[in-house]
Amino acid sequence: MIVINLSRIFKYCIKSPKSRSRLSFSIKLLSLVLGPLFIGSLIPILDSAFAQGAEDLVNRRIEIWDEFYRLMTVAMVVGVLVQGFIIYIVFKFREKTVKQKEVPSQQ
Amino acid sequence: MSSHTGERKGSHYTLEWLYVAAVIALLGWASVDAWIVEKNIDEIPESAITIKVVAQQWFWTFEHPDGKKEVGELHLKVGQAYRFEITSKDVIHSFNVPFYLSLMDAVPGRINKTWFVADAPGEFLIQCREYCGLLHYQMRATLYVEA
Amino acid sequence: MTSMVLEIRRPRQLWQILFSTHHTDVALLYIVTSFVFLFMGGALALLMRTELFTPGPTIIQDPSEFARIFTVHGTTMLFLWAIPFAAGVGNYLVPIMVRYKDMAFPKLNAVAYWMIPPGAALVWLGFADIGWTAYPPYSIISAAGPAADMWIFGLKILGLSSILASINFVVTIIKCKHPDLPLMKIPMFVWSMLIISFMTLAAMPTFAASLIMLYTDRLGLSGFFNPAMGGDPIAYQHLFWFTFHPEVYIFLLPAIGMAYELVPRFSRKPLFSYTSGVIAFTLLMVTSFAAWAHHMYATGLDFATKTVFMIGTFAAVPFSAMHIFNWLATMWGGRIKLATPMKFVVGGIMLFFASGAGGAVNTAMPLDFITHDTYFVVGHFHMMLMGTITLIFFGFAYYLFPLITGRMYHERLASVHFWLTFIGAIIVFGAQHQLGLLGMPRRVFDYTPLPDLIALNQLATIGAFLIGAGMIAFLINMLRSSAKGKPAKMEDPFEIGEQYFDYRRREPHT
Repeated sequence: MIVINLSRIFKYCIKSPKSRSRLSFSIKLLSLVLGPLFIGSLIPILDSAFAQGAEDLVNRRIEIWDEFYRLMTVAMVVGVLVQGFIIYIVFKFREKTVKQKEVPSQQ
Repeated sequence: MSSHTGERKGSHYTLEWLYVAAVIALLGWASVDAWIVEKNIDEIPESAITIKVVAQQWFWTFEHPDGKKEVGELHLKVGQAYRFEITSKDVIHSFNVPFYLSLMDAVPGRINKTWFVADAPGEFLIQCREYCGLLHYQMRATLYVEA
Repeated sequence: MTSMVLEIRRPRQLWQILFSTHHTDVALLYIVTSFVFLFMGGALALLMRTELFTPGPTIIQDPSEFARIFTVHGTTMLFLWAIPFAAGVGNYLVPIMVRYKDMAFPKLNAVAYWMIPPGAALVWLGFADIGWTAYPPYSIISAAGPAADMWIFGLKILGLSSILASINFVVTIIKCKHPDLPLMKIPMFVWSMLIISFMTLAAMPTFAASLIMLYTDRLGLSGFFNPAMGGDPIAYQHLFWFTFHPEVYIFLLPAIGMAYELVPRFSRKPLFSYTSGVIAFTLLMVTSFAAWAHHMYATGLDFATKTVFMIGTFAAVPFSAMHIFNWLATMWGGRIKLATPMKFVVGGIMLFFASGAGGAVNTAMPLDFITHDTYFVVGHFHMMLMGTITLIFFGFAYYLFPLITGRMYHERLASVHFWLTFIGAIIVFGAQHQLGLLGMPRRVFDYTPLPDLIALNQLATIGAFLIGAGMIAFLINMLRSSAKGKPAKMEDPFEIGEQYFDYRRREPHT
């Protein structure tokens, strides 16, 4: 049910097939990356269930660096998408490729 | 001066809402992740041994629970959790052991606390991470973690 | 009023410009002054980067000299470049854009400008070593007078100048705009100036108070921040950052407003959504006041407080993201002319994302233990100030050049300037991010001679000199083109077409 409605919303929002496939690609990529990261971020919760016990002390530097790598992975993926998109737009819509319209007024 | 447009309704605004929702979701995930990690490292365990750290321009003094003082070096035992009570005698410094990601300001008139487990043996850098004057760049000490 | 402000062929008397209260003249004074200080602060930066090229003393023998250089560099770039340039452009364009003849209070306008040279003189002649943040107790008990006192007085004057200019902008925009012009139709650049003026009025007085307290502490008359007299140094940090976190958004928003002016024109397409831009500005203003203690995560704040400020900081991010969306959606489907102003803006937008991402890393509480007071933070804020704000400012300077001088700048040389600055910025500030992760602290005259640190520092210095070379290209371009450049086609110097607005038009009805 949810899946059907989500795909309806998707179809309604994004009219052009090109942008649709692009967004869908981004969503797939993001979830592929975010999924494991999300699970990875839950591991400290499991840790805390056992931590501060007799033997298992939280290892500060490992926890923090792990979080850093998770955040950096997401930032890099999003960064490549955003920056790539900017470069793509500037390239695709630069002056030369779009045909000159003869009628000067356009709306 | 028209940067004002005919406002487009419907599908184009939906894309913007989706985009903002994605941004908020990412930030929410980052916040929750950060909160969880911080919560875990925040609580100082009972078994931690207290070391007093006194910063002053431009060297470090350490005091063990048995009263033994060390200047410019600190000897700790592997596998033991240590709690640091940090203060300063003059200006703000910051006690930093980069390898163990330990960082806490040394503020005069105040005692700040932090902790870590010295889980890896070796020699590590202790440095000052808050500008404190002429020899700030040289305000270092050595941490020896021994078995 | 169709004569150019600064037409070299028919020069006006210098005294006429200096004593003028007309908004275009005051604007020119602000802009020229800001460029002078950009170069002076930039020279200090190159001095520092040269010193850090190799470990050990390189060209500077005295560590306290280095401390003075980074203090004056930071103070200059923030208060004598970023703020005056924005104030200058605002002065020039806001009256035109709200269709009024001048600013609301022309004499006050001139007074606000003329406070800048004395403030700057105090800072530069004092050359204090307290860091631009001037944290006590160092700035109270350890910093030598009269340098630190002169810094305090200098900043007092500069802060007051900002407050007076803000009052002027608010009254001009709200009270003096043309009766036929509703608030929701003023250009986005005017919105950005209005919002930062509100923010300055709310945030700056706190710093003015802190400066007074710092000074009386230095005199020994009070003990606000001096523990020996019962005070709390952390209180200063709260007061300081309460002003200066919103202040960093005050540095940023004029650049965003300028990008809003340039992107639709050079994409030859109307702005995607005016309303969402205004909402983003307004909510950014509000949320920027909820973020300040993220600068203080290592001072011993408790867990709950740190969480509140982390959420507050993150709360402002969606609004910056909305601006990026707006620009990209405007560019999509347009016919983009990549003239120099547009190159700078697009480069600025790309680096805006990069700096923001680095900022998010700093904000996540535990990660701050890695990055606080290291070169990561230095890389982050420079990427924002130089890579985004200054890049967009340069783009806008090129954009205004034909309007102010009647001539076109040399396009090829400007392109060289862009690429040198863009690549240079990525190299320096990227290297600095990595240096921070390797643990190199800020405000250090020297560093441990590990091969990684040395290599990255050298890379950073090379990047810095690339930026410097770009600046020289800019200077040559500006000076030669204003004297000998090709006369510009004043109705549309960039051949944009319909989307261009001729700023010389002063009639009330467009």
